[in-house]
Amino acid sequence: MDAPVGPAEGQLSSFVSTALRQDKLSGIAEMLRFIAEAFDGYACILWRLAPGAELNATPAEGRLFVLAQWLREADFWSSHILTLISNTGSAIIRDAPINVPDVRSNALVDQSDPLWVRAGVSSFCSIPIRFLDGQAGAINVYRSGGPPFSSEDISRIQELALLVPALYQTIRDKVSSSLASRINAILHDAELRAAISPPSPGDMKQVVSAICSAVGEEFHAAEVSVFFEDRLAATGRYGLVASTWKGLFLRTEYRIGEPALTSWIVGQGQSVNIFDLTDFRNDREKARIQLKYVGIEWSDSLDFQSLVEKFFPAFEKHGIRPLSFMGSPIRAGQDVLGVIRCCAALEPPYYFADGELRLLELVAAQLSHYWMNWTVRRESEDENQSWRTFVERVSEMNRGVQAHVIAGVLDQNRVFEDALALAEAAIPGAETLDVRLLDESSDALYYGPTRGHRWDTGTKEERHKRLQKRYPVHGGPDSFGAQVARSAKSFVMDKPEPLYQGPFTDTTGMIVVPLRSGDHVVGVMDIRTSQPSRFPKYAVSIAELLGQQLGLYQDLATAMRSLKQAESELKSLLVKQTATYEDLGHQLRSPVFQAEARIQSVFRSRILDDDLRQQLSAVRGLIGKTKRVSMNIRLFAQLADKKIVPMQPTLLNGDDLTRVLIEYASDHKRLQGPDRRVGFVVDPKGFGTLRTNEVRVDYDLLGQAVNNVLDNAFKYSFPNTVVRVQGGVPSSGLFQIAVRNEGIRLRPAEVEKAKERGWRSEEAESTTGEGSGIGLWIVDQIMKALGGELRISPTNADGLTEVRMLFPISPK
Amino acid sequence: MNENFLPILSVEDDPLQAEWIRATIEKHIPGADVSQLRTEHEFVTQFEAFALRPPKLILLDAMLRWTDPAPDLPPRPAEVEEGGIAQAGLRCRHRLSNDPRTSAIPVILYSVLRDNASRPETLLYVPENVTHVQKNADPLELVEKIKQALGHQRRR
Repeated sequence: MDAPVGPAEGQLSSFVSTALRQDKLSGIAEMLRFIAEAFDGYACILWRLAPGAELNATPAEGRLFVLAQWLREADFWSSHILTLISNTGSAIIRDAPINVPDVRSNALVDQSDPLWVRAGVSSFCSIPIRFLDGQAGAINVYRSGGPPFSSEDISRIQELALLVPALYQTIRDKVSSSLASRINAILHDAELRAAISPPSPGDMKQVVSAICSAVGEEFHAAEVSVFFEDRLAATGRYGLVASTWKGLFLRTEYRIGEPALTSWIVGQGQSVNIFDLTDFRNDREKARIQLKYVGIEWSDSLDFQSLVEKFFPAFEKHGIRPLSFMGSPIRAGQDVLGVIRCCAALEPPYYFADGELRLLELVAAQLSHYWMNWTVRRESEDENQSWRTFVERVSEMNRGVQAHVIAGVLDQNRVFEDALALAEAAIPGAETLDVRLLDESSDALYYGPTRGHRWDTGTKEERHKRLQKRYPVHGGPDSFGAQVARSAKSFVMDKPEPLYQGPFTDTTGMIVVPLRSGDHVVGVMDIRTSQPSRFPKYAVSIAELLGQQLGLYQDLATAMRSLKQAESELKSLLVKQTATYEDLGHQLRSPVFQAEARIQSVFRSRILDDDLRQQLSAVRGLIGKTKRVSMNIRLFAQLADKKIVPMQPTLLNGDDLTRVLIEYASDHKRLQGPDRRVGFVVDPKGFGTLRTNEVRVDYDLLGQAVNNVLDNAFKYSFPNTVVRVQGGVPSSGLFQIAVRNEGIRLRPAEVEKAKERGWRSEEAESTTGEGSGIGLWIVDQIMKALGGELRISPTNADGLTEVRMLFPISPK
Repeated sequence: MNENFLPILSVEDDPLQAEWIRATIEKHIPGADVSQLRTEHEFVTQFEAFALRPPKLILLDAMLRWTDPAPDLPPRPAEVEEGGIAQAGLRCRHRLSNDPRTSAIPVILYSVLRDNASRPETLLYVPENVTHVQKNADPLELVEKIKQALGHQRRR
């Protein structure tokens, strides 16, 4: 009797530990090798019932496929599909081992199978098993030469076979865990890199590609591909992002509703697992698949014919391995972001079990998280870039506007053109832009500046017609522009709308924002796209801000126009006013001089009674004042208009000057009240200098200057004080008339201010009932015109304030 | 006391004008005795005195300087700084109206300002005893207005 073969004492634990060391699906073969070698087998194959099998039917229907296998000669091969009308099928159906001691005499054996034809396998046994998911299968051990399997062999194989489902599941679980860790590592690494610098589209594809490779390696899949909907570029289109498939792609983009597995997954948001894609060529199998996945269709987008030729040429005769397919939607809630699909295992297990599908769904969830992060980051990066562009260009535009303002001309069309260029640069997808302005007289919007090449399309007439179109705001056919003009609120069209009657019929998206000037809408800005993608959300904010900015420019332009007009009116008014002042001064001058002369004459020629003399004296004082005021008006008008004061230079005579000064002083004295008692003294000594020196002045102007100085001296002197006037030569080449009084203080800090137009000290404000603060300003101007100088000394310790008028002199 | 005695207070900062007013009134209105104040500050400081012995009529210049030049100037109250000389007559008139001892005294606001719009006080509310008279070359018009004001008071 032959020694029994099979696992010896301790070999059972060795078998288990071998199995548990495996962390790849290919490791299942190690477990099978252990069994084969323990029973002197040439091969060991783990069969599994394919989905759709009907064990209870008569006859039973269905197929078995190779889940894993080990053959002594690794490059050898066997059939991988069996019908249930087979020894292995019988073992499964009967749920009892089957021993085939001689394959050549067994009626259920396909005699052409290379396993016996080429490898010389002569006997085998088939042990039914039940996988942990409830599906049936079998472990077959094949011997090449040697004795057939004994009942004891079979019993001992059965012992090991009992462990296989649990060990198989354990290996699969380890594979799942290993794959999940691997993908986690890829994503973690990607996140770390993203934290350093924003990932580019190339970086993103690299990450997705690494995930595809990891999945492909674990599942031995010929193809693992990921498709995503890139909503920033186009909605409703799922484009290929990464794939392990090196062959020809017949299509790289899917849409919902197309007859394709990927389209079905994105449309239904549901995972798909198909045992064999070639079943779509079999009506019964196809119906079975479509019963499970309603409406699903397969079109060979990878050109599997090439795959078959490349990988399975020798199997054609015995049927190729199943082209298994599984795909999972990549979802964010109910939203399908994309698909990960996995196809055609190149090594056992050839079929993607539900466990693999769950694993793929897990990968899909990880991809979803990654994709959302990526898109958010990309959107945020795009948005940042858009805002950066916006801010830079608005600053640029503002600088331009500032230059226009400085130049005094705001070219509104130019500003609008700049704004449209800005919108085009800052808003992704902005292609065709314009500004429509409101014509208030016709209550309609008309086209202003435009931007985008589509405005230049068509014939000359078409272009003209396009630009001439008007959009009534009230009453006419409604339009988006009219709605915005009426409501002053932005409008966004994110898909083609029937109301859109604009010039470009292929417009798929449009933003219309109001241009507001104060509370009024003065126009709208249109931004259009013909691309399938929507405008990003921030595009509206950018457009609205730009609209506000344009509204401000509009306000500025209006203000500038008004200002310019006002300036021009004011200028003309000032010219008229100055001329009027000058004219009035002239008109007053003549009668005042005449009145003064006549009163002088009356004084000289008549003997008057005291009352009349007093009255006339008062009148003379008033006329003197009127004369000074009228002269001040005339000079003020000329000086304010920066006109040169006309001069009639005359030689200054000391005696005349003394006499005139006394006359002026008398006029002032006449005007003061009885309580003031401000005295007046002219010291004639100093004026003698003029006998030997020559000073040329205009008497009228000098008179006005002296009068203004005396007027101040009288007005601000304390009661019972004296105003003193002295002439003299303070230094070589200069003659001076100095007026000194005791009164309101003039502080050192106020000396220069006193020469300013309209300035009066606090004390002066208290003590003056009239006056405009232009007296000393006029004196200063007159002195400059006479080639002289006005010098004011602040009030000294004795309370005296001195004002000096200096003239250049030369010896006679 | 003389029945015809008519004490009149003139508040006028132009000495020539003040003297002319005094002479004109005293010449044309029998019994008129014109006393004079020259500045708003004088009006304020003398107020108690003439409130105790009220004049029959007060002639107020619309624009008054605060005070005369002096070594120690009385400071201008905030309302004077704010309103300036253009409001001086109005401030004096308000002070008169707000005191029961003086509120019934006929007041003639005597001003160079010609039309109502440019007067310091609008016509929205002008007490019955206040009359605006423009400073005019014809002194008899002022005399006439004074007589009317005095007669009106007598009738009341």
